[in-house]
Amino acid sequence: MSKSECHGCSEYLELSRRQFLGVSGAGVVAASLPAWLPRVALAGEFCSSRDVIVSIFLRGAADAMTFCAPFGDDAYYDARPTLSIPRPDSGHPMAALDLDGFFGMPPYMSPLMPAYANGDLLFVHACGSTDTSRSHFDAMKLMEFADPTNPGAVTGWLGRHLASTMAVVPGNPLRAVATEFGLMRTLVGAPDALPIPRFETFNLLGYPGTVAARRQALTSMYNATPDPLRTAAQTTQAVIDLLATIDFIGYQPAGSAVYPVSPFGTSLKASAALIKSDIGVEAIGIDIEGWDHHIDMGPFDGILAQKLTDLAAGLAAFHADLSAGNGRNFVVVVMSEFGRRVAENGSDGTDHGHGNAMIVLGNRIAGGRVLTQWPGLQPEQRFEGRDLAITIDYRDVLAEIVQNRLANGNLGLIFPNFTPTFRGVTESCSKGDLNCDGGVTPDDVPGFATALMDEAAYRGANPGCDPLNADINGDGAIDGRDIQGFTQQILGE
Amino acid sequence: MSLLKRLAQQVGLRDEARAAEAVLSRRKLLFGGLSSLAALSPSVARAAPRPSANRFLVDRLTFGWTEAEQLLADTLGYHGYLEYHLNPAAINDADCDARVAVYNRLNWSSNGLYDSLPQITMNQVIESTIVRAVYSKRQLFERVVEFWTDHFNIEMMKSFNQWLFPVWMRDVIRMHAMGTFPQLLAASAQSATMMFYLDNDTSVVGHPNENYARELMELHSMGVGSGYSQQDVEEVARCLTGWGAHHGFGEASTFEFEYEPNKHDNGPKVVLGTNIPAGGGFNDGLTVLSILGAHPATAAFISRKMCQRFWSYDPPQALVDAVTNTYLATNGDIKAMLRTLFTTLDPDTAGNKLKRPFHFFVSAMRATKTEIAANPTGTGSPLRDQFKAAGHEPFQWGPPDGYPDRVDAWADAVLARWNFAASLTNHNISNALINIPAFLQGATTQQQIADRMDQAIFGGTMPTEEKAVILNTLGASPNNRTIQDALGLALSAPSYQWY
Repeated sequence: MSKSECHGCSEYLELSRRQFLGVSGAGVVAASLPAWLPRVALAGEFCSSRDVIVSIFLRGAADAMTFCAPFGDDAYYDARPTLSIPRPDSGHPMAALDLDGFFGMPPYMSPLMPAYANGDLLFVHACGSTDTSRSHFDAMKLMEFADPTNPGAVTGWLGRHLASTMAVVPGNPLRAVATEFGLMRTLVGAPDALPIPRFETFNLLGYPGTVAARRQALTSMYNATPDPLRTAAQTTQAVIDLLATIDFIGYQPAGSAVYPVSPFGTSLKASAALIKSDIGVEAIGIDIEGWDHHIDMGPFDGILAQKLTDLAAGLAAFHADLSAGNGRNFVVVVMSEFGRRVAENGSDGTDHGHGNAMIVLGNRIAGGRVLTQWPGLQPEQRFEGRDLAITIDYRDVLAEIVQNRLANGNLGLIFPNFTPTFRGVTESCSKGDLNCDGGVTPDDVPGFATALMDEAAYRGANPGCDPLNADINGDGAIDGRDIQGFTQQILGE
Repeated sequence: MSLLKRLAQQVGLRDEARAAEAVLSRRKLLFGGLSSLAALSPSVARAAPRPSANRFLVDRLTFGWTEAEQLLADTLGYHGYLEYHLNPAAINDADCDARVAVYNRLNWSSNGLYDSLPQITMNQVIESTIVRAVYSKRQLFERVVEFWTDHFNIEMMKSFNQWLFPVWMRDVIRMHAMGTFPQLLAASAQSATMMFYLDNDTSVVGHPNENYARELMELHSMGVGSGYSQQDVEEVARCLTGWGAHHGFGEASTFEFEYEPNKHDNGPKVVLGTNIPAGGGFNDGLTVLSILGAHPATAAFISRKMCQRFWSYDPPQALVDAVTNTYLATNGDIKAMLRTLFTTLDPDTAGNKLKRPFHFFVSAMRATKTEIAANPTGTGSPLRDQFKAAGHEPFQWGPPDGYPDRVDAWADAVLARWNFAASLTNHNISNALINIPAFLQGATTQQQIADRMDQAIFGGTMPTEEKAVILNTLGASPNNRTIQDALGLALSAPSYQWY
C-alpha cells in the first residue's frame, strides 16, 4: 500500500464537519465550510487526521538483544554465548531475520516482516530512559510520568497529551482506555479515561429488570460526591451506553488478520474493534507482564520466545486489520522500563540493564529500518561497563509522535524540562509539497526539479522547507525513482 | 462535567480569531485542570464526616466498620481498643478458627503439599484469606498480614509456589506479622518460596543472580534511592549465593529452604561499607540481613510505608519520624510501631483512604453478615471470581512490589464495586449469601429499613443525598426486590468506598 494514502481521513473529515455543524448549530454554514476546518487543532506536520495511539508497555524489562538482535556486533556473541540469536547466515534454525545487515529479529517474529518491508515498522535501538535506576518500579514510574525533575509528578505523558488537546469527537466519554484493572501511570491525568479489562462485559449486573433504575440511583449518589469518584462514575455511566452500541463479540477483523488467542491478542482485537467503531477513542494502553527473565530466559523456544511470538503475531494482526481497506491512522509504541544486562548470568537468564529498544508501528511511521546511534557492546562501550548505553532518549521518539502524529505541540507540558531531538521517526506528511504551501499542485514542479538536481540550491531558495519532501517513495534518497510518484500526485492519480 | 471535558467541548471553534483566543483560555483552563487533579492527590475528602476518634480507629484497625466493633471500641476506649487489637493472641477467635479448620492444607508440610494437587491448595489459601478477613476478631492482625503480603509480595503461580504457599503464609508472614521486622525479614529470606520467587535458588558462585539481592534492598528493607549502589547489589548477591531450596527431580525433595556451601562465593565482600571477610559461608547472608534489619534507611522506609497503609496516603513527616524512632529503639518491634502510629497525632488530622477492592468487598460482607460457604476441596468459587473481576484476588500480583495502595490505581474502576454489591445483594454469588430478614432486624417500613441500612453499614453517618436515594429505591411499600436493590445501592454508595 502506498504510504501517501491516508487511512480513514475522509471519515475524520466528515466527522469533523458534522461536529462543527453540531456545535455551531447552523446548518446553513454547510455551504461555506472553510477548507481548513479539520485542521484547526493540528500542528504543522500532521496530515489530515490524528493517529490513534496504542501504548504497549512490556513490564519487567524486555530483552532488546533478542527482539532486535545486533548480530553485526561481535561483542554480542562474546557476552551471550548461549542466549544470543545466531547470525542470519549461520544456517541455524534460530538464525536472525536480517533487518538491515546489522540487526535482526528472531525467526518467530516473522509475522512482522510485511509491516517492516512496507515501511510501517521501526525499531529504535540503544534507546531508553537515561535515569540510572535499575529498579523496575522506579524506572517505570519515571518513564511513564516522563517528568523526572518533578518529584511530585502524578500524571503520565499520554495523560498530559490528552489533557492538553481537544477531543477528536467532542463529547466522547472515552478518549482513552486501558485494557487493565487500573489506569497505568502513562494515562493518569487523561480526561475521559477508564480502565476496562473487557469491553464486551462492561455493564451493570444484578437484577436485570432494575438496571435502568439502579443506574439512575448511582448517578444521583455519585453526582453528589467529590472527585475522583464523581468523574469516574460519570465516565463509567456514559461508557456503558457507548460500548453497548459496539458488537465486540461479532467483530470481524479486516485484512485477513488473525489475532493470537492470548490476553494480549484479545486486548488488541477489542482495541481494533473500538477504534473502527469511530467513537473517537484516541489512546489505548495495554500492559504485558512478565518480561523479567533472570532465569531460563528461553530466547529460542522458552518463555521469552513465547512472549515475543505473541507480541509479534498481535502487532502484525493489528497492522493488517487497521491497514486494510478503509483503515484508520494509528501508531503503536512498544516500550519497556529498561533493557537487560549485555552479558548473560549463570541462571540462563539476564539481570537488569540500561539501554533498550522501542518498537514503533504505524502507517505514517518512517519504518522499515532500525534507527540507532549504536554505541557498541564492548565492555568499555557499555554503560557502567555492564549495559547497553543509551544514545537516543525515549522522549525524542514520543515527542515527535505527539507533535507530528497526535497533532499536539505542547511538548513543554508533556515532556517538561526536556528539549526533544526529532530523529525522523514519523514520515513527513508533506511529500510532494516542495513550495510548502500546504498542497501538492503543479506549482511544486520547479521546487521538485531543483531538489532533485541540487539540494543545496533548493534549501537556499526554500528556507524552512524540507527537501526530503521530494523523496516520494520514502527510500531516503531524492532521485529518479521519485519522479513517477510525484507525477502521479500532481495528476491526482 | 469536568473542567477538561468542558474545555474539550468549548473548542467548537468558529473562526481563527476565536481559535487563538481559545488557545489562551485553554492554557488557563488546562493549568487549572491539571492542578485540579487534586482528584489524584491523597487528601481527598469523603462525602461523610468522621464522627469520632473511636470510629477512626475501628476504620483503621479492621477490614470494615461493624456495629459490634464500634461497641467494643466505645466500651474499651481508644487506647484500650488499640491494645486489644495489638494482642491478637488474647482474643478468643474460636468461631473463625472453626471456619478455617476445614482448610486442612494450611497445616501441611512442604513435602506433603508437593505431593498434592496445587489448585486445591491455592483455593484453600485464597478462600481462607477471605474468610479470615471477614470473620476473624483479630482484625488488626489480618490487616497487618495483608500489609506484609503486599510488602513481601509473592506471586502464587510462580515456580513451585503454587504448592508451597501455605508454608510461606504460616511460617513466615503469619508467624512474624506482629513480631519484629528484622525477624520477619530474616524469615522471608530463609524461605523456599522467596528463593523460588526471586530466583535466588539459581544464584551460584561466579554467576550470582541479582534479582533477589536487589529487591531485598529496594523493596523489602532500605527502599530505592536510600544510598546503596549497583555495586552493593552485586555484593549482596554474592553473599547470598548458595541460598535456595531443596528440590530436584527423581529424588526425595523437602522443598524447604536450604543453604548449599558448594554454591557459595566464599571470597571477601563489602556491603554498604562493611567488610565481610572471606570464608564466612552461610553467615555472609545472615550478616547482610542483620545490616539491613538495623539500617536507619530500613527503619524509615518501613515506617513510612506502615503510616501510608494505616494512617493516610501522605502521612506527616512528624508521624513517620516518630514511628521510625520506635523502630530504632525497639529493634523493629511491629506492635510498638503500630502503637506509636496510632497515638502520636490527632486522628482528626488523618486523611481518608479509598478502600481497595478486597477491602471494600470484605467490608460489605462484614456489614451485611454475609455467610460464606467453605469449599475446601474445590478449585475455585463464584466469590473468588468476584475478586478476580476486580483485579484484586489475593496473591495474584506478578511483580514484587505488591498490589498498589494508591487512589489513582483503584478509583477509576467503580463498576467492579457496583457489580460486586449488586451481585452480592441479588444473591448471584452462590457461596456468599446474606440473610436479609436477619439483617433487617424486624424493620418493615421504608424509613425503618433505610435507617437500618444506615445504622448497620454506615453507623448512622450516611449522607442525606445517599439516604434519599435508598428511600426512593425502597419505595413507599418495600418488597424483596426493592430491599435487595436498595441494599446493593447502599453498599455502592460513594461514601462507603472510603475509610
